[in-house]
Amino acid sequence: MKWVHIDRIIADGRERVLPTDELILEHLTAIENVLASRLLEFFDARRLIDDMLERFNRKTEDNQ
Amino acid sequence: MSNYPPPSDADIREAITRLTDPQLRRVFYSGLQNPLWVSPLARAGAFDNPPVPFEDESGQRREEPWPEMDYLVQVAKAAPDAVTDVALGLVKSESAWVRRGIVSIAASVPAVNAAPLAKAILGWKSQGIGWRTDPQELSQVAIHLLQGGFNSLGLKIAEKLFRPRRRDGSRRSVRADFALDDYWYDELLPPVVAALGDMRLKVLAQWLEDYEVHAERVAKTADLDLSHIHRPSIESRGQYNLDIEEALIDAVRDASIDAMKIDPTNAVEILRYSGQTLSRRICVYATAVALRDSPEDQALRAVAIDMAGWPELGRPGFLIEFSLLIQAAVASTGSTAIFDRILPTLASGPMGSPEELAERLKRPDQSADELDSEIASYVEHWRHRILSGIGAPALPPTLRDELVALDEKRGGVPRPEREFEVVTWSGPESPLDSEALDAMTRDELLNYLETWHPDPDTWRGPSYEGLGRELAGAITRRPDLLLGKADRVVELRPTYLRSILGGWREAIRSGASVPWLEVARIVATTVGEPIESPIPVEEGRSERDEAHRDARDAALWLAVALIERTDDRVAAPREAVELVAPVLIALATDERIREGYASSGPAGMDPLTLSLNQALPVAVRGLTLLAGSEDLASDAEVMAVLADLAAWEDPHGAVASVLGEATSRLYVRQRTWLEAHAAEIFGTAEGLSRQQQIAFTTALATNHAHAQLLGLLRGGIEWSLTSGTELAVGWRGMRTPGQLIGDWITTMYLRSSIDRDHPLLDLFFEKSPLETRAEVLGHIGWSFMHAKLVDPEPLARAMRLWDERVEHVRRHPEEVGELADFYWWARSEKFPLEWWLSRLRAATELHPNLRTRGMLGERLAQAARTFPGLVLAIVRNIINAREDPEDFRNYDLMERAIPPTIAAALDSGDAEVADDARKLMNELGRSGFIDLEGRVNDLRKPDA
Repeated sequence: MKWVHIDRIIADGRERVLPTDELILEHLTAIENVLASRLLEFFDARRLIDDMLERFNRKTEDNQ
Repeated sequence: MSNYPPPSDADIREAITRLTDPQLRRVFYSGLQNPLWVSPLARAGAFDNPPVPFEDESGQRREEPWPEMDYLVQVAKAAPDAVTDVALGLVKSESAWVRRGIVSIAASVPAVNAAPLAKAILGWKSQGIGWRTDPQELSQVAIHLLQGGFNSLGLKIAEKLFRPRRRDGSRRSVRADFALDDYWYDELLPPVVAALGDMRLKVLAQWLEDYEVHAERVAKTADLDLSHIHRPSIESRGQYNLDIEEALIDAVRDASIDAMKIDPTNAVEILRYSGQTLSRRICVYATAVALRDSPEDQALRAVAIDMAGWPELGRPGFLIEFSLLIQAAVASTGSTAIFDRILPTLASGPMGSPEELAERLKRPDQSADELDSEIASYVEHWRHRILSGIGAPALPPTLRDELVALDEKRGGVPRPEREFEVVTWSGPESPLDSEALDAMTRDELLNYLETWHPDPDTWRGPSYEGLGRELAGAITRRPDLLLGKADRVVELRPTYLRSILGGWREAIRSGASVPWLEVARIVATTVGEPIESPIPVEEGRSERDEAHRDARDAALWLAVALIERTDDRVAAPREAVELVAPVLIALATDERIREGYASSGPAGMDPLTLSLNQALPVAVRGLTLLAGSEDLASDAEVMAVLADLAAWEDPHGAVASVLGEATSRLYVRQRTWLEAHAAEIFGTAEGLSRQQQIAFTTALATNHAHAQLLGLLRGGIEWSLTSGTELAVGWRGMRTPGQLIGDWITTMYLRSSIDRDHPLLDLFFEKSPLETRAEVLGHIGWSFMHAKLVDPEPLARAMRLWDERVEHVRRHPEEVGELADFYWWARSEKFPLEWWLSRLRAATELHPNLRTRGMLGERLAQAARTFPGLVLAIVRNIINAREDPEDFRNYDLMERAIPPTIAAALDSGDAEVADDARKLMNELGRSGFIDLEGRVNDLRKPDA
């Protein structure tokens, strides 16, 4: 919500650092994820979780 | 080497933002194996909000499961520090799921991590350790701590599990804080005891002493200790071998034996500290066993010799362990010098002093001489048992001579361990088995029965009753065993006579032939005998039936068996029946017998059951069997007596119930008589007395429905339905009188004995309560299910009747409960598939909560491939009607019907049906059936 009136803050002449594209993207991704999980049918959402688990549980070779 | 990668911030965010639903959290946390996620998830707040227990509308405490805990438990071994940190932040939660998880974690992580968790566990007051907590894991926590050097904490956890205390002030509720049941207590105690190490004997002895005090096995004020009754031998468990006390005794015993071998003086000090006999008996036993294992151990030998002088060893409770100690000491020292120590004990007698023994034995009406004589006899018996227990080989010459003399004078005594066994599960013992009785000649057997008596010195051991049971078995196998000896048989002790009569009855029932005339004569004599037996009752004995009454009843039952004709039995010759008939007539008309029956108190059983236990109704049953017997000289007299009894005012209804039970038989054999007396026995449409209600309901319950009998009972049926009276029950079977009436009427209709326009059918559906109608309709399906074959006409009539009732419900929706038991029809497999599926669908649409009782899962699964849309609609209707989709009653539907139904619907080729199936699958997934899609896919056609 803090970015909703960002143009007005700039118009006031106060200094305000704009969020980076990365940060905005991060927040948008979070919104997308929540919406996707809520809007998808249960087993479609479950498949996304299973895909996540497959990635997070995958072991990598230790080179050290 | 492969390792799990740590999650990035983006990974954590992705996971958390996708877990929008409790079931998705369940999928994620039960599947996450990477232990490096614990701390990042904790930092992201994933473990901050365990569910808080709440009260539902009915005031019941409810707790939601918490999937996050599953992950923590799963990775506790791999990430002990991180998981312990998280768990310590959760210890204030009162959720039983969370507490269970914390105990699991404490059981998995190293002791150093478990210690702070254990402290928290010990601090749980409200809700305690949590009812979901696994006792095995809690004991593992104790073991873990004890083995990891945290003795004090480990002991405290062990005490929560094992230290007995009174939980609600009653001696029957002696349990530890964590109230393990007996099985788990017994199972989990030994490994925890092993982990207690050096302190185990002291700890265990204290727990056992606590148990004895709390269970009031030891009276503090009186000098009374009966531990030897509950545990006859320390060496092994008694009959009731699975309880806390037995488990503790075994544990103390084993710990004591080990301790004796290390420091016997210290072990004795620990075990004697409480002064309880049980601990001292364990002490004596452990010393004996340790010395037997290490006979050269000087310290142990010294302890044993000192122990032999303990004055309490003469008391009865110590006998077994005392004997073992002396035997071990003699074997260890190679001499009988130890007897110098026990002579004072032997001299002071069984209670420690002659004065105390006199105090125990004296009775108010006893003279001084009589008391002295009793004391002398008691002491002699006691010395005999001790010397016999130690055994001749270990005794010094003088005591050995005394034992020989006592054996000669008193006969051998059993080993002490048998003396104390209280065996309550076995039946009465016999001195001989039935084969041995069978092997005797007739005179030998009779001589034996006439002269054998039980041992008057003991209330256990062989008895008349025990011998009688073996005798009955021998007679059943060989009914002519006493052939030609009727005169002596009737003079036998009533217990034996009863057994012999019972043996013959069993023989007849098994289809064997018996010496009919002789048996009939004995029956006649026995029933005619005086009620009280001329044989005196032995002093101090209380056999079940010293009186003659039971033998007379056995004779009556034998008479009934003798008269009764069935296809699988040899029929008694007419002469034998002629002998028995007058006996039954005489008994049924005997005023004393009727008065005895009338004056007997309420027996707490239904009239038909009572009729099996009273002489008068048994005799009446015999008369109903005689009724209509061809050529029976006394037939007219039999019918006259039955007529008299039909009119007799029966105070308990047992005679009425016998007449009701005999309805079919009397109809077949004495139709005119029965029709003439039907109104008197069963009542009319004007009303039924209680006695008539009993005959009427017994007739309905015990006879097959039949059109002719329906005519006899019609008046009662009409009165019952129109008056709405709750009828007296003659036989308390599975069906109520109202249901039986409905069963009879509908059966008559289905069998075409009556047509649909018969007034009784309408009367039943108009007047019966809703539940009765539902039960009766359900019963049609049930009885079809149990029939091997159902002809087309009854099937068609049933289908018409059902459709008619559904139409009735459509017109009167408030009566939808009538359809509640349709599941039996669906289950019966007698109706056409599409017919019952469409009716089931209609019923599920009309009925808000149709019962399926776990009956339909398989049937619906089978039907799904043929009628996928119809079955899917039925399943959805049933599920929609449930308030709680995880309702256990739906298990059958969820497990058996739903996966194949959805698979069939998806494969059906009908897009609408497939779409509905998919929707249902996702709904069920979101409500907790998270693996449904996998199961459905396993069942789908490969090319679909």
